[in-house]
Amino acid sequence: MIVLQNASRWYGQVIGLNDVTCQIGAGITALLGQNGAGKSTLMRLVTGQLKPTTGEVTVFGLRPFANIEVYRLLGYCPEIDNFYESMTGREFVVYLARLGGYGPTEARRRADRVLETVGMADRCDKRIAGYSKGMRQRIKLAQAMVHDPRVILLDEPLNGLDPVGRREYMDLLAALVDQGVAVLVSSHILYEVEQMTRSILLLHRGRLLATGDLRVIRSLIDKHPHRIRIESQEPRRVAEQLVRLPYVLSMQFDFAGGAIELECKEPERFYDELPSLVVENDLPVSGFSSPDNNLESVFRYLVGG
Amino acid sequence: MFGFLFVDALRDNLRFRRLWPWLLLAGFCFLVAFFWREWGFRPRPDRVYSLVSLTLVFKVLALASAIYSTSVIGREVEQRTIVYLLTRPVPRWMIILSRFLASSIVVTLIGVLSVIGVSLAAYRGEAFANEMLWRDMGALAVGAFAYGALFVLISLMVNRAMLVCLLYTFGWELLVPNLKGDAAALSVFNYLEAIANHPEVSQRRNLLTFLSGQLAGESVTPMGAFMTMAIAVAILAFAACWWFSNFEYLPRDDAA
Repeated sequence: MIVLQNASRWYGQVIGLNDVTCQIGAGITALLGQNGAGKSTLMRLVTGQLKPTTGEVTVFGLRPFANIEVYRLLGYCPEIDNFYESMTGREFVVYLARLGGYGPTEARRRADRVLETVGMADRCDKRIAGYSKGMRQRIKLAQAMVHDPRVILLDEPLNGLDPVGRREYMDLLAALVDQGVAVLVSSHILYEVEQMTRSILLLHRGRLLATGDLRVIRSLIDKHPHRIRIESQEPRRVAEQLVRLPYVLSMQFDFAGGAIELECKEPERFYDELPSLVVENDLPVSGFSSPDNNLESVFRYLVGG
Repeated sequence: MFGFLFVDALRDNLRFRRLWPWLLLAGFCFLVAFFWREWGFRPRPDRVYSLVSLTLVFKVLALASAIYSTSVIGREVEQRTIVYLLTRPVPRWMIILSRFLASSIVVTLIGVLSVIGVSLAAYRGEAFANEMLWRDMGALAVGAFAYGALFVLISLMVNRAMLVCLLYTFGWELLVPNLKGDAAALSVFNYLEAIANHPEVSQRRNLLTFLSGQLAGESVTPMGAFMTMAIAVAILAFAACWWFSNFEYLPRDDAA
């Protein structure tokens, strides 16, 4: 759906995006990176607000800059928290639906539908100026959905949402994906992104650092051992068995917490072999987890932080 | 779509919050003409009308045009709402053209209101028998579109458009129409003055003649001036549409 081919974007002497090549398809894809990594630049290139300095960006095979054919297929929820403040939420969504080419009746019908979907039906007749941050995020999503786009781009959409709101928002995105909509979400809140998708694009200083499934990316980083925490009432006994495994590099005991934290270089193999090891040796393992199984650590490893 | 954009822009421009300063200025023009007619020096109605119209109303027109035209896109950029406009399936030229037309119509209304007020103050009950009034209305309409097209283009091309437009309005437009030679051809007011076709406000060369742009004397016929302005408006409006369709517009903070 979205293809970037050696796309670069310079702002004068500053590089926003550096030679990025990737494809974004169905499902939810997360665009990750710290502030200034180039997430918003990539979003603006895809939404045709910017032109690439070099390379090419296409959406459904079309160049997006000022291309109304692309805008029919694309919904965009910007990061900015700015609106036509004097409007009510409903007026705002209806206005943008009208700009989508719908007549007044159809625009109102569509606005009502999406406002219901994002949970703003009962509050949409108040002025936007009086909205909370969470309500603003919902209204922004509503305007992005109002013309039934095939791709929705969301720039930092979870900012300002309370935990319940975030859960609802994520459910909403999952429902959109079920309807066949491709969703690209940019965020630096890694924990939340992790709950939405495992398909990521990782940007750092304008460069695409990694792309694909989070677990695959994680397994490729073999120069950084994977940390695994195993909880047990008899950590010494468990350690005795685990230390024999050739890919286990080191171990640390946490007697107070009743756990061992080990470093291993082939986590997939370890996870495959652990159950049989526990059963065959009757090991008292009450649980295991990996502090490295999150995007934060993947990001940290990849950027050498 | 064009109709929706145009009506929406017109409604926005006609909101009382945006209009009241101009109504006050129109009232100010009326008061100046009224007091001059009552207690001023040589208060002949045609002289009072002509001077107030040329020195004040046409400047109000240019100022209103500068404010309205630079906000056609500038306000969206400042408010950072332009992103909503530019990611909708609306041709960019249509946004510019509809908003330019709407703002020019409102500026024309402001000018016409002001000049009617001045005519009422100068001629009292015979305000509408004043022939200059009707020519002025035409000149004001042409001026609103000409200034509008020029200022919209400037606002799309430069960052501090308001400053440039104000310098043009109160610097260039005050000075250049009074210059002899071809330089006056670069002043919109020079053409508007030719369309308005007022008699000379004074036989002597003084500050009032300077302010009313009549130092150099007329050099263009009314029809020539009208045709020149019509062509200029078409070219400038086309240039503005082309520019907006081909260049990037980001919210102010993001572009920095």
